[in-house]
Amino acid sequence: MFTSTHLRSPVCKASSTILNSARLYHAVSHLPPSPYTPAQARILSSALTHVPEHGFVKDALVLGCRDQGYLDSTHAVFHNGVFDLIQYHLYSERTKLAQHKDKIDAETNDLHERVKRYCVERLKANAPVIKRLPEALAVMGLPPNVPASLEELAKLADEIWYLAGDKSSTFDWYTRRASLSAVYSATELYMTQDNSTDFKNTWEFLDRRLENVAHLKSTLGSSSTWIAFTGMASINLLRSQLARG
Amino acid sequence: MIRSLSTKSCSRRVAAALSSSCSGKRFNSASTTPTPAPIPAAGDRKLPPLSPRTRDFLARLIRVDQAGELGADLIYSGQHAVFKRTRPDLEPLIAHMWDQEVYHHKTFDALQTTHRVRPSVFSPLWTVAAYGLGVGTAVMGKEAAMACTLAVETVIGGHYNDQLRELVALIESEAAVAEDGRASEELRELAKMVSRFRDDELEHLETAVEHDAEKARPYILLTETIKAGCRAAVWTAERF
Ligand SMILES: [Fe+2]
Ligand SMILES: [Fe+2]
Repeated sequence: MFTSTHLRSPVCKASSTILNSARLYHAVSHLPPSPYTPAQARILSSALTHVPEHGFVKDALVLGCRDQGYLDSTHAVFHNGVFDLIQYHLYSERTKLAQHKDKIDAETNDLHERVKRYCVERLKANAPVIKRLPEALAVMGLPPNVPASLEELAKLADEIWYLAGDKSSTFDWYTRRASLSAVYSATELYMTQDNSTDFKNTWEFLDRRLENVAHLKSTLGSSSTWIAFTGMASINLLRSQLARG
Repeated sequence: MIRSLSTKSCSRRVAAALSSSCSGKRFNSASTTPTPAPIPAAGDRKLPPLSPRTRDFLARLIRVDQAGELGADLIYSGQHAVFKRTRPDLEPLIAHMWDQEVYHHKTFDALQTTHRVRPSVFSPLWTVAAYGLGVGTAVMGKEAAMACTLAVETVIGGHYNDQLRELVALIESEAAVAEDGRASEELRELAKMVSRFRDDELEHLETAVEHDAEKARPYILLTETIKAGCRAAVWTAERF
């Protein structure tokens, strides 16, 4: 039996690392840093297997601890409770997208088609928990959780463009990620209400939305987008950057 | 001016840190290869993760250098657009420097993509400002254009030197972190590249001096203004 002190300190760090890592250098020849300790990852993975039945609730976390041989009270090391479980779901599904790279690369050369494939793969991963997703979205929308939720959404959009082979190097980089974030979250929301067989309507919805992204004009052509976006984004960025100096 | 940018002080340390792969040779200052150097492939045995502080430093480095090279590319492009009509004699000189800047710019674009660094939010602004600066100084004449080059390359060359010093220290400390003392090939390649680009920028600086940049007394105000602008841009592009 492990005690909960084993796990305590890295959890707080985990959430702050997740928050910042999207802006950090991605090393090719170094291992990627993991935001979770192996023990945390085992507990949270086990907990996720209970989500289809119990939902994104404390009970799933407790069952996850029990499965891995920890005391029930160990769940308390996840300070953000259910939100930690939700974040782990988002993190693990995002990082799993890379597994589809070989297949998608072989199937199509078209950047936007690839982006679509990754969106479909990511949304499909929601299917087992789709009935539980609205409650997760509600937790993500609580004011204290909004910054981390948006950060995770931005990371997903970045992951998809990166895997698809996006090479934008000017302001396109931002417009592409911002517009994909918007499309993805709208489609995810749509999917929770979709009763069609095999989510047929969801894929059609996604198609229509992505067409707009593909037709986005770049950089100087869309200076109003740029001004709107920077105005919005720079407030938070300014705060964090000035704090660090 | 040039002396203050002397590369001697840190070149010995750089050579030592990079010695295993470049054997102390002076880096070729003319970058003739049309495509960016390949990024070292991910081997089976990866090195330990880089610290968040290091990753932040490297992200800032790539972001600011990409923005700087975008600017340099467009300054020379602006000057070229003017001089090819008004001073055809200067055209090959400008074209040569411009070519090098295009290569620098492409290299950093590739690095930004590979290492998943976000570009500067202000890239549209750098684009407009740099092209305007190029056209504007070229219209003022040869001396003003050279004074502009002198100002820009002084700031950029100096900045590359600062980065190189930090990179070398970083490579040494990362080698200490790896169990087998292996230095990161990826970081070493980056340092070599920064060092080579620094040499290119110093060559541009020398060219500007040879072409009477400093004779242009009335342009002291211009040079100082451009330098101040570049420093402000560097500060901003590192962060945003
Ligand atoms: Fe350059
Ligand atoms: Fe230069």
